Amino acid sequence: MFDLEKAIQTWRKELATSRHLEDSYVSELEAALRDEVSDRVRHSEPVEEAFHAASSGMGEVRAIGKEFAKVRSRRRGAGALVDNYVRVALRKMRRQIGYALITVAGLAVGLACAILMMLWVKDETSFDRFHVNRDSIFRLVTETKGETAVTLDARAPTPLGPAAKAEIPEVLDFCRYRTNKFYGVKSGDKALYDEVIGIADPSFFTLFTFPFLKGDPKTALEGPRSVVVTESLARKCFGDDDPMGKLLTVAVDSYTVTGVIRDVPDHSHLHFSCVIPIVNMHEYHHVDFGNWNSMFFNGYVRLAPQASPSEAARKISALAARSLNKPNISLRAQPLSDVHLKSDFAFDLDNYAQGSASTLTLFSIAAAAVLLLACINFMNLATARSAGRAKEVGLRKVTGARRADIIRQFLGESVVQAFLGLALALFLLWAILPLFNALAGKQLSFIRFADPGLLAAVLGVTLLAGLLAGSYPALYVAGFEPARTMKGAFPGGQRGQALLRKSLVVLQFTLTVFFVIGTIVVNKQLRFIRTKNLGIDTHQVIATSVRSRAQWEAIAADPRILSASQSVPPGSAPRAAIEVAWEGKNPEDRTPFFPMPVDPEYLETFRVQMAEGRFFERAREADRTDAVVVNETAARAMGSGTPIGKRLTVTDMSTQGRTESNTYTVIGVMRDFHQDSLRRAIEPMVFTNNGPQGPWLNLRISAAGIPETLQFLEKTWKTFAGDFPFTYDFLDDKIDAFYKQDRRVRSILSVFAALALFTACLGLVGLASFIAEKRTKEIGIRKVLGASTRRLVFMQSKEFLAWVLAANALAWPAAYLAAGKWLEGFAYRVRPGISPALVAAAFSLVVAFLSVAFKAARAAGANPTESLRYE
Amino acid sequence: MSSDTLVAASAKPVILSLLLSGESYGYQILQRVRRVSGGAMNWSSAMLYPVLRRMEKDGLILSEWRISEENRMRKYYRLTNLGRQEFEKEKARWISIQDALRKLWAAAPAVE
Repeated sequence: MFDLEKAIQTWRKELATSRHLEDSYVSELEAALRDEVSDRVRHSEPVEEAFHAASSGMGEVRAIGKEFAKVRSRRRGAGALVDNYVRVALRKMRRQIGYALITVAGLAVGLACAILMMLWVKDETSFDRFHVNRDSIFRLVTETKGETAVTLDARAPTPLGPAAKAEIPEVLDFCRYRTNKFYGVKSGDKALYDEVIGIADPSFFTLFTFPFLKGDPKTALEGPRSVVVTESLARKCFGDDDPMGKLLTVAVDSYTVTGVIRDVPDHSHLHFSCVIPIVNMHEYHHVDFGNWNSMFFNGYVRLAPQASPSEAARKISALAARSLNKPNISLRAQPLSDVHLKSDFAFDLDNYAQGSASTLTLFSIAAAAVLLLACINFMNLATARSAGRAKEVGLRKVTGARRADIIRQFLGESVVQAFLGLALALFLLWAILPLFNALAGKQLSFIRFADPGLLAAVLGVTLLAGLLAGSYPALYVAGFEPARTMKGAFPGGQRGQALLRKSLVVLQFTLTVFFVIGTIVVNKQLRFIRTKNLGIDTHQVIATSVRSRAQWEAIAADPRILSASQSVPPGSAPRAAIEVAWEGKNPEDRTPFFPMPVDPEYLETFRVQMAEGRFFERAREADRTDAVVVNETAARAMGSGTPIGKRLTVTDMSTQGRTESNTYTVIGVMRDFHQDSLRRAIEPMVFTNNGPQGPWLNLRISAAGIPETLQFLEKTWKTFAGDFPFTYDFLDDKIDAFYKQDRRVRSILSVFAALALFTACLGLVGLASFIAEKRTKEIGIRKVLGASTRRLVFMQSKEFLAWVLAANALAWPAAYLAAGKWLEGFAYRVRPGISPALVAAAFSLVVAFLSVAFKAARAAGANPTESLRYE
Repeated sequence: MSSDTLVAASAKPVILSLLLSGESYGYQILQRVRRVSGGAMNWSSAMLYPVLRRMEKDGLILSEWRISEENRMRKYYRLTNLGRQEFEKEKARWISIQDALRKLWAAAPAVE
């Protein structure tokens, strides 16, 4: 028996195989076929014959397809598709402008965060990539294993480079490098004191790649008094004249310009305006190039291309340990590309604009989270509103749209919205980039978008966000059954879907609360740092330098100077351990002690307390040669009982590499004080009084007339130091600077927390208005029956608040875990306590309530006759 | 009627003329064309629908899916204002060609 429906279905399927025939074409052809068949049947033709006649009359599939292809050929392919999606998406958005604003604004904020982070990551990871040998250059980091801790020093023993090159085949070349910011550069009557002078081996310009404009990189630094200058320094000193062969005074000596290089790129951890050969360091700083205890330079090596860095590091370590006769010393080979981001070493003084990989990771995660929040908003609002589009989808399906077509349309719409969001995001970014740069201390710029990789990444992330945001709504809507939706069944109210929406809101607030708690904890720790009693009073203490004893005397005599101490100021103490021995010391005990050369005025200037015994006195000559003071931590390390009277043998290795052993009597114990970041535990300290150990001068000044005091100091400086500029720091600022990075973390984290909260609330506003819309009738009836506006607002908000509470409960453990991890970085830290969680809970509830109540109040305030009439 | 090009060229004015009297759907258009030409113009669906599609894209006609009395989905076409204007232009064009041909044939001797 011939089945017409079956025959038509088969015919239809055959037509659908043509790629030129869209579903709607096929449907129209089907309608025509049915018309003809029924016409023929009316003229008493048998059904089967009527069908065959009608279908063959339509022609072959291929022929039909070709005809249709002609129509489509005008605009076809991706262009037409995109055009169509854009038009449909814009039309839909115009109809519901409020929701569209919420989703697009949310996506824009999320994308702006994501793009900002991409810019930042790109910026931070592009350091030191311009060197031709970048993959085979390593920095040698010295590792000293102590009893309890491992100290890492960014410098390497001075003779290590040449020895390694001579003895280890993998080491092709080496270069030692450091900088000095105080030498000053002079040419004729021009004197520049802000220039960074690089000091390096002659191999510097062959190991690293700094393009030469003039001169020969191979030989430029061979003469002991040769100098290679950057283009801008050359212009500053010599104007338009050819600098080659001209004389430049660096520190106190004349150097001949033997090379001019292009200015050092911003993305270089080596930063200088000129380079002089290292041989001069013997004269300027008494560096002993043959002494293995000398730690003065950063050491770089170039390894053979096929060499294993760890194997080379093992050989170099063996060489150093043997030469130093210290088995606990080893060297790490740090890849050049890690120097900028992955350095946390002592004495990393020449690492220009150092970054932090963990901060970068933290913020990348935060940005991704904000973008995720925005995508969730999209999903939530799109599925919530899908009820309104059920009929549209039903009709499309009836007229022959396939599931894939519906999915494609909805995904297309979300991708279009994502790209609209991108446009807005770029605008936002353009507006906030200067602000962000100030906050993060960066120089990010839009020029980076010229980078094809970054551009591709931005477009990729946008596309991905669009697909992610549209995926669930598209799949969900495509699953509608036309028969039910056309009858007005309401898919938006399904239980499972409402549950999913709730879970998404909970997820959003979980992330938000996490950020809020994080921000509060960081803030709490920073406040703790600011208010903690450091055991030392740095208030109104100025750190400057002094050129001569006469200058010191001239300054100290002034009544505005309450106390003057010529010693290393807190926060810039050298961190090279010394060896300390006393009678009865366990020979296995390798606790590192740290030296602190001071003068008798130290105690008064910094207002440190003595725990026991006495401090140095200027009147007692023996205090200079025979006495030391230790801190409480050192006293504890020396065992139980008072250390006073004990004999202490101190073996000091100076930066110049001279080793000296002296034995002193302990005359006092100083109370512990923090002279370093609170990230570091207080270390055992040994204070000596062997006379000035550097140019430092610390002045406690009277609170009155500080500007006049500074003027006086500058005038005195000019008298004794000539045209070198007068520089000073308030110690408070210096201590504060330890936490610069942490304060940045706080600022940026709070911005992300605010954005997360904003995005999550946008979503709430949208959902609340959607729900209020759906409950218009209910609210109207309740109102007629006598419910107060307040009660109605409460009724609508209740559920949202429950979700937010649930989110809080979920976020707490994660946030406390993360905060605990961050706090572990501080030797001295606050206990976060319950308050951050409570504050975050209260905050999120209030903000969520306000977002919902705003909409709910409007719904509840509406005249019930209106709402009831329309429903 | 034979030549494909002529069919293609005349399709637009024919459809415009048909729709001038009111809306219609695909199968009905085919039937009316055949009837009015006395069977000389026998269009196929494969030819008609792409033309309708193109005319719709050009803004000459509008379409709408509706459920017919037989409870089937059917796509109805009607003229737009632009379509009406286009009809006037086409009409003028075809009349001038017709006039020219008629004059030529009147002057020429019969082929037989």
